[in-house]
Amino acid sequence: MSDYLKLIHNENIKIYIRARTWIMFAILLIAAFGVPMLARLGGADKIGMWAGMGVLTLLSFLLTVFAASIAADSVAGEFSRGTVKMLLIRPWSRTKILFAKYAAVLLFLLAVYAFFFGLGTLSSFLLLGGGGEADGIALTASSADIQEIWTNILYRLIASVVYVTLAFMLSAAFRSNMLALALTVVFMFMGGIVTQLVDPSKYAIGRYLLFANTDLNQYAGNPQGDYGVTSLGFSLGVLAVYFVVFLIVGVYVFRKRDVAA
Amino acid sequence: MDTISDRLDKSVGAETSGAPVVRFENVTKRIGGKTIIDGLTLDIAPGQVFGFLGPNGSGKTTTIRMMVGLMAISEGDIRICGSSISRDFERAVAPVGAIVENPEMYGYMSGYANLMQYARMRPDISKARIDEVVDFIGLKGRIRDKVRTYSLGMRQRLGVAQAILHRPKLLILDEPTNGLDPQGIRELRDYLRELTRREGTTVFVSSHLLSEMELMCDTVAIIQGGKLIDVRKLNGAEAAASVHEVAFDVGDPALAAEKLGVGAVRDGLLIVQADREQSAAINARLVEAGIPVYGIRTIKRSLEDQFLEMTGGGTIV
Repeated sequence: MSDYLKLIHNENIKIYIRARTWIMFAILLIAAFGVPMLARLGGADKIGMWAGMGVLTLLSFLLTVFAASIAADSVAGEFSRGTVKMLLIRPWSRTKILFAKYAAVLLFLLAVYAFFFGLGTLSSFLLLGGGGEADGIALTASSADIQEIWTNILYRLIASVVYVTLAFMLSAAFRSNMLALALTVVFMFMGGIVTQLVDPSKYAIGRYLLFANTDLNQYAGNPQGDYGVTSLGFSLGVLAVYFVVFLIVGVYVFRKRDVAA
Repeated sequence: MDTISDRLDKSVGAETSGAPVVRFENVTKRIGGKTIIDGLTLDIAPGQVFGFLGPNGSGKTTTIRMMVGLMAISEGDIRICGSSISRDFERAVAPVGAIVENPEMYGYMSGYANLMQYARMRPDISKARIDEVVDFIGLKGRIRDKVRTYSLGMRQRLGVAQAILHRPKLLILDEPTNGLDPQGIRELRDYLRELTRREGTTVFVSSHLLSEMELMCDTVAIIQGGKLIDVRKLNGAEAAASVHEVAFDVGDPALAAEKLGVGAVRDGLLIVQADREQSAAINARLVEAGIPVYGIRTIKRSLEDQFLEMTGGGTIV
């Protein structure tokens, strides 16, 4: 087991040794402080820290794209550099190596979420939480609102895991990081169009689309969701199926194909 | 109680007559209906430098990729120290160190960090061992620099370092002299000799550089068009017993050829196909016949000549 942790450690090094990873963190740092700062400068300093956090959750797509770019590079980058043949001739099966990479990618996703929303909480408190003694947290939000924010973030994290897994699968299958990232981003942003064309409220098949289920926050106000035909449990089930399929396809292709890089 | 010589005999016996380190069993590779490797069957005995020779495109790298599990084997199997590479990969590849084609490294890491990557993937590689290997390959002064600043020769050295880090029983090197200067080639050659002698490592080297292989290898296998066409020992008893062209510097070569009934005259010398014993016999007959013999010389054909002869020359790219 400790040997396997060393494999994950290797993959972590490959992620965090690179300057671009720290550029991502720098961008997140700027966003986490910049957005509450803009709100304050715009005269919204009385909206309270939890409203500020609500605005920050809208930026979670950044976290998904950053983690997806790491996922897309994870396997495909080894192929484009040719290092994959050095990696795969060690006494570890391809499946074990692939899961070490996947673990490092998920850890990175958790790290950017913790970093962004951790800093976001701090900056929102400092900049929007109110300055007066009486203007404490309890006055600006009820505990139900606070819980809603964290649930919102959790739901976004679940969707991010699915997209990052998709990027990772595409990376392992196509061995091209540009293609893997481009396809993932297209998937992330074309959801709205596809669900309009194949409206789940009109066509039964629509409800099984990935896009109809990735936004779990649709159930915050309405248990039947945006289309009136799904539920939180249903969406979680659909996401779980996609998640497992992505992993199986990724592992299968990675194991099977000859390495000629 | 064992005498020292008893024990020496045993250890030598264990090394030379042991099970083959690599066993190719009717290995076939097809890609898209094209047969790249065709029924390769070959045993490689431990403790030698084994050369794998062939023109470009003959299937050398494909064979090596199958040996280390990078490519699947279409038919047959490869066993390394008895374990099947296709069915028991982790066990089979454990005693192997390899460079497949160019040694690609993580350019954004230092040479040392690259070695650490591979060290972490094996049990029991100490920091001292890494330092020892770095010292050996002569990269001590640059090992903390990023690999992207390395020359091709330095990368090649780092490639050798990652391959020998865990003291492999089988070292596979694909065109190892690519990018090395003459000094580096010589060092590599000496080192491979040292490895086989001191640690009993078996070295499997592929190349199309014949003169290089001749200096480096104990045995060479020659493949062409995916087929094994010859295996031969270059040095040692078998080589000595083989028939060579022998040149006799004699008083009257034409008369000598006539008296002997064999041989031909070339460049004023009498040329005869003979092994060692036969050469001595011919000498005796020439002296008996009253023909003065000024010198006897074995004409060693270079591996290159033999190789060109076997592969038909024209197909070498």
